[in-house]
Amino acid sequence: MKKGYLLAPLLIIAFGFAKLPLEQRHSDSMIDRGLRQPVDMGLGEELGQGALIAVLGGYRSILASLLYVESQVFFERREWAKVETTFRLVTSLQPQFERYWELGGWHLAYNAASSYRFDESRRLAVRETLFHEWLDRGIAMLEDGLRHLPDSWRLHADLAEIYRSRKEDPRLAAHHFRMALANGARPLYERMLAYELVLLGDRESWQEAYDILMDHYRQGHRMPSAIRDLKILEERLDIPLEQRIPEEAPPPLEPEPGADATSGRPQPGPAAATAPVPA
Amino acid sequence: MPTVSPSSPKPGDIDTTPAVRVDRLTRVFRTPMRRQKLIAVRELSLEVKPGEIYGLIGPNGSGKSTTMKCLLGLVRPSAGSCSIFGRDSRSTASRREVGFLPENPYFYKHLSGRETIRFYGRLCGLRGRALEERADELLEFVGLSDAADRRLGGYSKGMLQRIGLAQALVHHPRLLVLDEPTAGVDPRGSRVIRDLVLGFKERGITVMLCSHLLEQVQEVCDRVGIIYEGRMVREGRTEDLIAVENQTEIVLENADTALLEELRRLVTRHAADRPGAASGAAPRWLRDGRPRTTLERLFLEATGDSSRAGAPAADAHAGAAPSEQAGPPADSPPNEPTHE
Amino acid sequence: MSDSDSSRPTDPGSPPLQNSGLGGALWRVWVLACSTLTQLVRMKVFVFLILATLVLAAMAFAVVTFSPEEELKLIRDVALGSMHLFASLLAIAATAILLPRDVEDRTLYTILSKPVPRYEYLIGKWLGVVLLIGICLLFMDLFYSAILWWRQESLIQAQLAAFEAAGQLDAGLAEEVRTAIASQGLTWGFHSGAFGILLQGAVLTSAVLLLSTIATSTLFTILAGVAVLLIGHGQELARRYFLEGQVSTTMERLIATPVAIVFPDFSLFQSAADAASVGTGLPLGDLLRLTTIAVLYILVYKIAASLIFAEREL
Repeated sequence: MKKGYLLAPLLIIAFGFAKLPLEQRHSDSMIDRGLRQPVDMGLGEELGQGALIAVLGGYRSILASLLYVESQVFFERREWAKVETTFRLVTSLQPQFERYWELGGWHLAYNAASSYRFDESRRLAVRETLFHEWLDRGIAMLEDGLRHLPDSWRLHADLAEIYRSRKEDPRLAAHHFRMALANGARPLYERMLAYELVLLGDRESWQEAYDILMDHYRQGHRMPSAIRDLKILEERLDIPLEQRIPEEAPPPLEPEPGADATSGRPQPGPAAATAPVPA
Repeated sequence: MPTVSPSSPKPGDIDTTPAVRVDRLTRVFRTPMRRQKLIAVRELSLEVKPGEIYGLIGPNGSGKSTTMKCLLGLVRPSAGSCSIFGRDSRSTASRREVGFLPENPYFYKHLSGRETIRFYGRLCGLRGRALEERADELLEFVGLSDAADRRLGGYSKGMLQRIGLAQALVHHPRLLVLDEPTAGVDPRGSRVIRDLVLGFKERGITVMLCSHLLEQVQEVCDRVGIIYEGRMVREGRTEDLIAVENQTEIVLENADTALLEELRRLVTRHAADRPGAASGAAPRWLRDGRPRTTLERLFLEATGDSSRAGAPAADAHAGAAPSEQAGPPADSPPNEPTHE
Repeated sequence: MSDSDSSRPTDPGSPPLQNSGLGGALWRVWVLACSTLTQLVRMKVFVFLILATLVLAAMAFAVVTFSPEEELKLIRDVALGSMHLFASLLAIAATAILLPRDVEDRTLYTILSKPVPRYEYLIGKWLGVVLLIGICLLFMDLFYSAILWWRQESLIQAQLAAFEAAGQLDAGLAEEVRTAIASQGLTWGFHSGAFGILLQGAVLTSAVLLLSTIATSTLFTILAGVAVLLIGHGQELARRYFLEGQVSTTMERLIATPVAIVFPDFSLFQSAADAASVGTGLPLGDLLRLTTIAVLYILVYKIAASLIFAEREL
């Protein structure tokens, strides 16, 4: 046996053991800082082969992009099961891109759910069942997204919006608005939180809502809904008359530009898109 | 005096270190499954003195190439050793003093002749103007100046062989190792290479060459070793090895029949006068007739190299004056007319 | 044919060769690298690169997208995907061809019969391929950067014009639009992604070179190189099984252990490109750590290749 042929594998094996902790530490450090996705052992089930995701290596992102484009075709054809499958695949391929979770959740909870709700070929009871079923699928998609991206204020805001407008569950809506705010959402969401707190039955929530809305009022954000809720809260909280806002509220000091704008998708869309377009 | 290099002896010293020393070299190859052993070279020893032209001849598979590869450090000896000017062949430093032309060399086809020489020159540490000058010099030396900027892909075999010689020379080596330097080259190109080899000797470069073109080896080599089945079977000075000791050859020009008759009578009379005639030691007329020309000579005549072809064939065999043989002839064209 | 004394090629006045020490070694490696680069360039690699880049870029525009963010992401993905494709292709194919070809053509004899140690030859070949990958990636980075910049600016202008037409535009909104689109356009993260791909290419090249010192055919080297690339992307899975003790059967251990130990974790380098794809990028500190890991791999593979190649019969 030649010496080199023996030494070379020994060197590689010795280095192999030495480098493992180095790789692991660096990988973990990047995962901790959200720069890298943890390996999902169940990843790729939708593809039928667990290892395929890994095999795709450097082409996962482009494949995700192209599959996403394909999902739009299914969306236009209203093939909701295919839309869901494609988005599950897309988000498996590139879970760190929050937009895919957002769009997936939005397709399921809004487009698919509404499509079934207004599908007059079915009986009303079936329509309502399907509506809620697809709503829950959208929520599940966004919650999966939050497992990968726990710091995403946008995913929290999207969930909050679904609980607010579709599920009409102010408690969960308030929770997610609060989480969105904790992760850097814009002040608009603080008012959204306040509107949900107003709907809750306890005085503590009302007080918190009043404080938020008054704070915004003083800063000049005097939207009709804010003034309406302030009036309600002044009554509920027995605010002294001299501290109440005037009956005829002055017009807003400054408008909120593009606050509710979305990125050119059918309404309603995921909250606060990156690139706002004119409504 | 050869190239100045860190290992070269100081001027005035007599360098007695052999240019090549192969000492009881054995090389065993094993088949991939390790079932069989193939002994390519066994206990081979040889020495080449500085300034010599040494020919290693033998049939295919006799171990010539393996010996050369061991000498150049391309293959490790199983036993024994090789050295070049005293340096063990396994060390990279031993290759500072040797230039090698492998059999049928293929260089990078994407490079031109000049780029090829530059590449090998750079590998040997040459750069800048020294490199450019060296490249021009060598291209001219091997007669490829006109084809210098053509890619090697378009070179003929003879041209490749000559560019191979140029790269082997680029770093001023004191020893040249040539493996079948004229294999596959036409007689004209082959003659040019032969002349180049004779020119190296004149310049003090030691040459070790492998060939199975025995006539050519006989023409240029001072000493010859015959290798068979990995062993050295004969070795010695070429003249000594090939001379038929008790015969003499006379070649006459314009001799008529009468003169020949007279000479024959003279020999017969002389033999009869000698006391030891009965024991067979007396002179004897063996044969006469017209000396034959060679196919090489006919080829050269027919293809127009009259200056060479006109020389009597016997002259070439006798190893004509080195001054005439130094390098390819002045009138030899830089490019060969025959392409593959 | 000159025969005068002054032009004799081996006259005693020849300059001594500056060929020893580290300087000499680096010089020879550089010469071999440049020769390798020239060889590959003259194999028309760049023509193929330019054509393929143009076709791929055209494909990125042919796909219908629905928002500026999606369009910019698609361009980034096509860019990073084609960079990865080219880097891997060159690292595997070019490296697998070079060494066997030199052996078969006996060019290696003429190189190694010069005072060139075998490890310098290997490093030179590696450097040549890595230089080529670097040049290709630089070209693609510049090309796609220009496209990203152009699309980013035209999308910003289009959005601003639309807001203006709707009478909603003010300084704050303009800034918001600009920031939102620019964050998905040309950023530092994009270049850090290209750098991650370069690191991956350099490690892969050294692995394939190591393979070609033991392989007897180019085809085997190419197939083994592809396997290294694919398995390397799944190495993290095996490593976590191995380190975190999640393997249950002997069979799983038999598979996970060698994969974790022998193969490099290419997904680690890929994280730079993945971050670039979603519009962020790796911080400098992480890139430096990745570079360190890549250098370690390259060194070990180089030493192993040299150990084997030093004893290879030519």
